[in-house]
Amino acid sequence: MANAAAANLKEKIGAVFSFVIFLALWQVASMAVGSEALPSPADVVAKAQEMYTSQIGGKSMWMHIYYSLRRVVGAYLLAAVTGIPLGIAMGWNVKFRKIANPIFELLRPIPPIAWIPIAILWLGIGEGPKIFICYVGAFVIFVMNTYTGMRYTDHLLIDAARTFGATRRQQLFNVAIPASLPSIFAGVQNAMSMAWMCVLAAELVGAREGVGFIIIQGMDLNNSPMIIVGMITIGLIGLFLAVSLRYLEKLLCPWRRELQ
Amino acid sequence: MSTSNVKIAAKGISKSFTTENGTIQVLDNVSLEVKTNEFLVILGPGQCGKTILLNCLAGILPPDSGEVILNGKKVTEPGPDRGVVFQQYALFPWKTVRDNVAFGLAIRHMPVKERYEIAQKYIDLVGLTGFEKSYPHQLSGGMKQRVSIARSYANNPEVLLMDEPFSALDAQTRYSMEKELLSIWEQEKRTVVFITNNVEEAIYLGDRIVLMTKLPGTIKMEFPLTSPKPRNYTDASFLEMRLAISEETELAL
Repeated sequence: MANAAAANLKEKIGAVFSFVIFLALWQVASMAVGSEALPSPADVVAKAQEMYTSQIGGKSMWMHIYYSLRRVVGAYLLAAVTGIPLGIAMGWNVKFRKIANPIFELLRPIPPIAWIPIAILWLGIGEGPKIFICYVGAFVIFVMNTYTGMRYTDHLLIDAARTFGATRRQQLFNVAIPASLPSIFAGVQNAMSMAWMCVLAAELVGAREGVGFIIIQGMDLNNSPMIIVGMITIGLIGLFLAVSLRYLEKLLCPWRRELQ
Repeated sequence: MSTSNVKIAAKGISKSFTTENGTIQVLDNVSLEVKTNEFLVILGPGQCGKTILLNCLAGILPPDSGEVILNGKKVTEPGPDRGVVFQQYALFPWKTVRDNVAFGLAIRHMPVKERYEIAQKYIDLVGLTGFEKSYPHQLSGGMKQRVSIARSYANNPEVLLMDEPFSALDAQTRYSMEKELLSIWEQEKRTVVFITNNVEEAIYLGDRIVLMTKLPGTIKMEFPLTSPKPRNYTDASFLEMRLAISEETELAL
């Protein structure tokens, strides 16, 4: 136990140390190229204070974050409730797989961002296209991970369940789906990162609110500290989302061995 | 052998598989009968189709020709009357030891309380008391196979089919598992079909040994074992039997 605590402390010290080095390099780079192009860490902190206490485009920073998150979470949940069942069906039912898989393979390689123009054409410039883009990105990942998990379910486990007289339905719900959960959960995290990436892309194209709007605004105003504050905000929120989902996975898949 | 006493029988089972390298005949007209509460060991070299034979008995694989008869009825699919202990344990990694052992009972919708009472009995029987809430990945190979044996027993099958259950274990664990299996079987008699490629294990456990040839697998000889169990590996009769079987096995290889 003492060893684990010491290792943990070492890791924390290491993290602080690397962060300090990063800030120092940033400071040096900023002095080298001039604060016009690359503002110093202190400039960015000052700008962040200003941005988080005033309004941008008629809304506070927190409201902008709220708008982006609302789009992401809405699209994400929609993608989960449609993508996971589709992946399960494709993995479990051979007939359905044969019909659905070719269509899916055709649509899958199209990057979500490539859907932006047609989404705007179909859904206008309101919330619709932004949610749609996030949905496309997250949906593909949900389907792929669920489907892969189902296909790679150890057939021995299905055989074992059959020897206990499990019906086809019980084989699905008591064996194949639980066996796929780790793979589905990998999708849960990747889909969230993808949805978060997509919302920014969607907001770069014609939005009046959201974190993507903030960095575009910074560009339009030729205000590099503002852009960097926006970028850091995006990074922190992405990190927060990833950490929460990892916590959720630990809660729901306690049998997973921790890989250190 | 009176036919009324036969629990499970294979009648003229043949099975072949088609691969890229052509068709391989794995089983050729294999027939055997296992009496109620008999401990039958099927001994054969690696790749002799003995696992395939077991899967046919379990109903997991349909034979190309021939049939499996359980209690006078033809077997067409797996069922809870035949418990299988797999070489690779086949435990459910997302379930605790207790829930793994109770799996067959849960499939039959037995109430949780009753289910866990029965599971506990068999967890105690295989010596895993205290590990009820562990997950399979936290257990050693020997412990995993104990869970698998308890899982089969808890479902109260008429026939236990064991597919080289101890071959993945180290020698020391293997000896102690053989001993424990025997004592479990003495306490709760079942009809057992036990597959192995280990002559000593076969003589230690079996009431009767069926020796198989290499591919295509057929039954070469039978050895009835009458000395009382548990047997001693160093007894003269044990060594004699071992020699007799080994000579035949070499010919089979």
